[in-house]
Amino acid sequence: MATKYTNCKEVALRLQTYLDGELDDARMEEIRSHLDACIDCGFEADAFREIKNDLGSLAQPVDSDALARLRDFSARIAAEAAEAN
Amino acid sequence: MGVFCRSGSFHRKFVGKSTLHDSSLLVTVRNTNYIAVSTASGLRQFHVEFLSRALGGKVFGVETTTPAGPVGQDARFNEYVIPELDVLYRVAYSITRNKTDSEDLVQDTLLRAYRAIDRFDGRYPRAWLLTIMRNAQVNRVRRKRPELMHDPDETMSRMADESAEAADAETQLMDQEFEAPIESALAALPKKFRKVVELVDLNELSYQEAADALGIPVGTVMSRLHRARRNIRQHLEASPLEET
Ligand SMILES: [Zn+2]
Repeated sequence: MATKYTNCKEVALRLQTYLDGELDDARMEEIRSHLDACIDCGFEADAFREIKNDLGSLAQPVDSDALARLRDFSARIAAEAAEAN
Repeated sequence: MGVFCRSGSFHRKFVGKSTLHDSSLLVTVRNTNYIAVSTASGLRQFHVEFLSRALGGKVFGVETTTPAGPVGQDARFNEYVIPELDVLYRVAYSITRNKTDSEDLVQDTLLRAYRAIDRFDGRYPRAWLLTIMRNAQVNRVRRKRPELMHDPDETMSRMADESAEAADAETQLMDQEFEAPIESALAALPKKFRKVVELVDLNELSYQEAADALGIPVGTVMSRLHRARRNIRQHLEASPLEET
């Protein structure tokens, strides 16, 4: 018989949290098996998964010069603290 | 016979500078044999147990805290903070929308983290750092705009939004022709929604980390994020199909 989250409404409610991997293992599994079996919910999941992936592809690489400067800065904090001691 | 384990104090001697962000265990057996073990953070207990098994259960004393003083402080700083530099910079940029401000904000965060590292329990370093960054940002805004200090949350987002406005207009003008539909859908979101999407979907923060970075409850992160994505979806479905 259907478990707590195997109804389409419940899945819709938790679908994005599921796609973000932020549910506990048992709920993740329940939704995963519902999506395998239910065409409508599977379609919804694909749509949001694609949006999430497309958004992820917009991430810009971090400015490597800025990162290098921040590493230097970190090393200086430690060096200055050592001097003060 | 007993084995005494300590972590941290002999980092430089045994592990060398390049792997300083890993913690190491120094095991002393009858004051003569030394075994240095490099572990990922949070796995110390496992390694201690492992060593204990390997040595026939003879580990009796485990000191998991790195000793105070500059060496321990540096080791902890290298272990917990340095691996997060990239994320800190990304989040700072998301919040300030300005390269100089992001760098300043991260520097400020690093100073605060260094001073507080002895009191940090070693769990969830990213969340800890993002909370520090959030406090640093609130303080910076307060210093710059004392007249707005009645509501730091409001002030912070307003500050960020104002500098974002100019940058956004410029970017939009330049990129309009080449912009992917997903980009314009993101740009069309109200700022407080866009920020959550940037933190979670672009910078891959967890809900909790995004909540810490923005100083809002996890439930608010979730509702804004989910609404934002439904909004993006509508935007995409409404845009005309691209010619192929
Ligand atoms: Zn369904």
